[in-house]
Amino acid sequence: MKKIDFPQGTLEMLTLRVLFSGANHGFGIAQQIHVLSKEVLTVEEGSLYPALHRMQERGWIKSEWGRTENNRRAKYYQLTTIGRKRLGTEQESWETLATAISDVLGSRP
Amino acid sequence: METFHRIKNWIAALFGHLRKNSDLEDEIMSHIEMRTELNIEAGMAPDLARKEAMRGFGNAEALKEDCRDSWGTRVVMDLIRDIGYSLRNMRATPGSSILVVLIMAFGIGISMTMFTFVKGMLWSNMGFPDEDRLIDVKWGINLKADRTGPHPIRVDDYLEFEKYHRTLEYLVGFSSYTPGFRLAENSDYPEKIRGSAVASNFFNLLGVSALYGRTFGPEDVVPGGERLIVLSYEFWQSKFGGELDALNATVYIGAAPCRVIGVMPPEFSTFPLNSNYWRGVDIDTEWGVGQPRQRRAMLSILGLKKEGVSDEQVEADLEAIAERLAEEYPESNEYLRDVQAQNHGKGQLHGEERNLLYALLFCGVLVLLVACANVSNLMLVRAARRSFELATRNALGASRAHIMYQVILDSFLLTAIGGIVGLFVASYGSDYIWSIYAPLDADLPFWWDVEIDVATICVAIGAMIIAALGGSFVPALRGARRNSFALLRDDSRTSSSLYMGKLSKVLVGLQITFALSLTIVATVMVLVQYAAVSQEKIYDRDKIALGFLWLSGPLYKEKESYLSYQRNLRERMIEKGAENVCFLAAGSKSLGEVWWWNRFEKAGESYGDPTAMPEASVLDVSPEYFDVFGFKRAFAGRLFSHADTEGSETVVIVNRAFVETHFPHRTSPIGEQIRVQPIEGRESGWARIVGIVENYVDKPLPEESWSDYAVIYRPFAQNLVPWVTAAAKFGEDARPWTTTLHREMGKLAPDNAFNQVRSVRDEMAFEESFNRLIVKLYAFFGVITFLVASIGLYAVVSFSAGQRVREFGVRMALGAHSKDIIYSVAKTGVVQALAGLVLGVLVGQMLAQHLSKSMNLVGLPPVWITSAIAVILILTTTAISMLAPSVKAARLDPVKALRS
Repeated sequence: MKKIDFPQGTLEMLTLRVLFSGANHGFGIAQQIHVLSKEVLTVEEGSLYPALHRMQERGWIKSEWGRTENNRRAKYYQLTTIGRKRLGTEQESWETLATAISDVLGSRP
Repeated sequence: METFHRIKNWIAALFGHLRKNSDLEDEIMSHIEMRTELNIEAGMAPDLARKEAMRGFGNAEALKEDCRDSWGTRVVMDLIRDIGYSLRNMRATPGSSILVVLIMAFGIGISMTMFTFVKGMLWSNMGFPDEDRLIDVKWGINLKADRTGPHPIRVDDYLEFEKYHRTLEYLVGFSSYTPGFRLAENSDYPEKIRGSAVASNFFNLLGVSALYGRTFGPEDVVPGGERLIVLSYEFWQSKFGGELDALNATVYIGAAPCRVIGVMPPEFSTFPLNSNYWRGVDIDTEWGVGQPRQRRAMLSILGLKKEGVSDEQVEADLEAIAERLAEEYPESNEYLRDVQAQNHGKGQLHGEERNLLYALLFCGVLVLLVACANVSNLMLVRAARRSFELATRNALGASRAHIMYQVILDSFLLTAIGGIVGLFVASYGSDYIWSIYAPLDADLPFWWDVEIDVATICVAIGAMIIAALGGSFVPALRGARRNSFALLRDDSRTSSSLYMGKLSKVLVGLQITFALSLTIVATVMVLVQYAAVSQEKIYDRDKIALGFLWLSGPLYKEKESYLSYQRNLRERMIEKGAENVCFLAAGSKSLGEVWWWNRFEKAGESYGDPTAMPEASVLDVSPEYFDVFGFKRAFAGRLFSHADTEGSETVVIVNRAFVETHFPHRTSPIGEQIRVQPIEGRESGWARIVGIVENYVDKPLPEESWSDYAVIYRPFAQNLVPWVTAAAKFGEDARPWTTTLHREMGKLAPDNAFNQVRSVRDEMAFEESFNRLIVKLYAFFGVITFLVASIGLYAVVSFSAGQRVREFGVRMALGAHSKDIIYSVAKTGVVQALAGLVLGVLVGQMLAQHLSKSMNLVGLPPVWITSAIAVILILTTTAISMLAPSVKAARLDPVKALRS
C-alpha cells in the first residue's frame, strides 16, 4: 500500500479520535492509526510524541504510567473533557472541509 | 480553561522539569522496546530487531527538544542558566558588583524611606466608614505668604451653620480644650488628660459604636441633663485596669460629675487629636449663651458631606450663610466670609508642610537618580570589560537582543540584591525617623502609619525595575552594537573596545548635577535650621514656664473674675518663687518665630480690597509681659500698665521691625492710629500707638526680613478672650516649676481647660519638631548623596583608568612622567563635570528658592554662600575620588603594564 503524508494539523485530531476509544500509549496510538487507516497512514514518532506532549500541556489529554498486556511499563494517555470537546470541534470542521472539497472535486466541468 | 491548564502545567513543569525529563526518557525507551518486541515477533533476531526499532524511531535528541519546547519551560530554563552565568560573572568582578549593590541599596533605601514616611503622613486611611466625606470646616483667611492657617469657627456661627446647611449630613462642633480630669471629687488637683467635648451627634457622624456600653446621641445630651462620657480603649485600660465596673462610674471633668456610659473599641483610636474620652455637650446651652457674640468660644468643626457633594459645594453653601451673618453682625463678622472645607485626613498638614513632604520625596527620587546614573556608568564599565566576551558571542551567532538581555539581566540581578538590602535599610530608616518624630508631636493623627507595606514593596519593585533598566539599557545597547570583527582583531584592549566614552562622561556630569542640587538644598536647610536654633532671643528660654488655659463659665463670663483670676495666679506664683508672671492671649505658637498674623489699617489710608492691607503679627499681652520676656524698656513712648483697660483709650505698642516696615519715613509713629482687622471676630476699634519696643530677636535684622518680625502688642485687658497662656519667669531652670504652675492653675480654675504646662524651650522644641526633623532629613540626604556620588565617581574613574593600563605602559615607555599620567586620568570627563557643576548650581538654587517659598523660610543664607559651600564639598569629593586611581595609574611599572 502506498504511504501518504499527513495533511497539516490532522495528527492531533486522529490521536484524539484514537484516544476517544480508550486510553492508549504512544506506540499503541501510532499502531491504531496505521491499522484504522488500512495501513495508509504511518505516524512518525518524531511527530507523535511532541504532539502528545503539546496536547497534554493544553489540557486535552492526561497521562499516567501503567502496564501493557505483556506487563511492560508504558505511559498511557486518555482524553479529558476539554479534549473530548476539542475532538468534536475538529471533527466537525474536518467533515465540513472534506464535504466542501469533495463537492468541488465531484462537480461537472 | 486552556490558559489555566497551560499555567498549571508550566508551574508544575518548572518544579518537575527533571522528573519530566526522566519520564520522557522512559517513554521513548518503552516505545523502542515495544517496537523491538513486534520486530522479534515478525521474525527478526533480537539484536537486529532492536537496531531496526531504534533506526525507525529517528533522532531521539531532536524529539526530546521538540517535546521540551511544548512544556513551555524553555524560557525559564534559559533564564536559570543565564542567571547562573550572571552570578558567575559577578563573582569574577566582585569590586564593581559590590559597588553596584551598595549604590542601589543606598538609592532604593533612601528613596523608599522617604516614600514610606511621606505615604504614612499623606496617604494613610483613617478607617472610618465614610472618611472620604469627612471634612474640616474653618474660616479661610488668605493672608499674604500663607502666614496664618485657616481659623476655627465661633460657637454662634457654628450654630447658624448647623441650622441652615444643606450640603451636609452632619455638622459636629468639638473642643479639645477640656478641663482637668479627676477620678474622685476630692482628688488633690486635676490630671492633665486630654479629652474632647463633642456635639451630641459626634458618633453618628463617624458611624462607629462602642465596644462595651454605648455611645451617646442627640437624645442623651439635653440641657441641664446628666453629663455623659465615653472612654477610649487605651484610657479605660490604663485608668480602670480594663474593668467593666468603669461603666456607670462617676468621674469629674473640671468640677462637674460625669457618668461613663461606654468604652470604644481599640481600633477606634484617640480621635480627634488624641482624645482619651469624649463628653457629650449641648453646645447651644452650654457654650452659646450668656456672652456677647464676639467673646464666645471657638470650636473645631467636622462635617460629613452628603453623597456626591464636593468640597466647593459645601463651601458655597456655608459661605451663603456667612454672607448673611456678615450683613447681620458686621462688627464681628465683617471679614468672615470665606469658608474652607477640606478632607479631614488631608487637612492635618498645612500646604507648606505638604509641600515639604513632597520636596522630601522629590529629593529621595534625586538620590535614586544619582544612584541610577552611577549604576549606569558602572554597567558601562562592566560591559566594556566584557566587550571581548560579548564580541565572541556575537561572532558565534548570538543575537543582539540576547546580548542586550544578558547585560540587562546582569543589572537586574545586582539591582535586585541592592534593592532587597535597600528595603531593609528603608524599614529600619523609617522606623528610626518615626521613633524620633512621633514622641515629639502630641497631636499625631492616630492613622499615620509609617511602615513598609505591600504598596511600598510594589513601589520599590517598580523603582528597582526602572533603576535596573535605566542603569543598563544604554550599556546593553552599546555592548550589543560593538563591531565584533574589529574588537576580536584588536584583542579587546585598543581603541575599538569600550572606553569611558562620551556617554559615560555625560553620566558623570549628570550625577554631579543631581548631587550638587541636593547638596545645595541640604546646605540651605541646615543653615536655616542653624540660624533658627542659634537665634538669640532677648529672653532666656529655659527660665520661663508656660501654662495654656481655656477659660469658660463664670470665670470667663464675668470680666472682673477673669482679671482677678489673673491677679490671684500671679500673686500665688510669686509667693511660690516666680520672679514675675504675665498673660498672653494666644496659643503656644506666639512664643516661637510663628506669630498670629493679622491685617491692619493705618488711619488716613484707604484700601480698596482687604487683601491690600498691610500685615503684622498681633499679640495681646498683660503689662508684665515685657518684663517676663526680657524687654527692658520702651524704646520710645511707654509700656502697658494696669490702667489700660476696656474703659480706657484703646492703645497698642509696636516693635522696631514694625516701625521700619510700616512707618519707614517717620521719625516716630507714636500717636499714630491703627486698626487691626477683626478676623478673630472680636471688636477692634482704632488704637493709638503709645510705645515702641525692641525686636524680640537679639541681633540686627537684615532689611528684607523686617516685615517678618513686625509685631503689634495689644493690652490683654482691652481684648479679653477665653484662651490664655500664663508665663512665669524664674531665676533658674523653669522645668521643675511646671508642676507648681500646673497645680496652682488647677486650684484656681478647676472647671477650666488646661493642658500644656512646660518651659519655653520645650514648647518651642515641640512646635518646631516637624521642621527640625525635616531639616535633619535634608542633612542626611546631603551626606548620603555625597557618599553615593563619591563611590560612583571613584569607581568610574578607577575602572576607566584600569582599562587604559596598556596605553599608560606605552606612554611611560615612551618617556611620559607620572604627573602626565595623573593629568591624563584626572582630566577624564572634566568638561562634562564642569557642565554638571554649573547645571547643579542652577537647579539646586532653583529648588532651594522654591522650597523656601513653599515653606515660608526666613533668614535664608545668600545664594553665593550656599553655592560655594556645595561646590567646594563636591569638588573635594570629586578630587579625592579621582586622585586615588590617578596615583595608582602613575605608579604602574611600564614593563608590567605592557605585558598585561
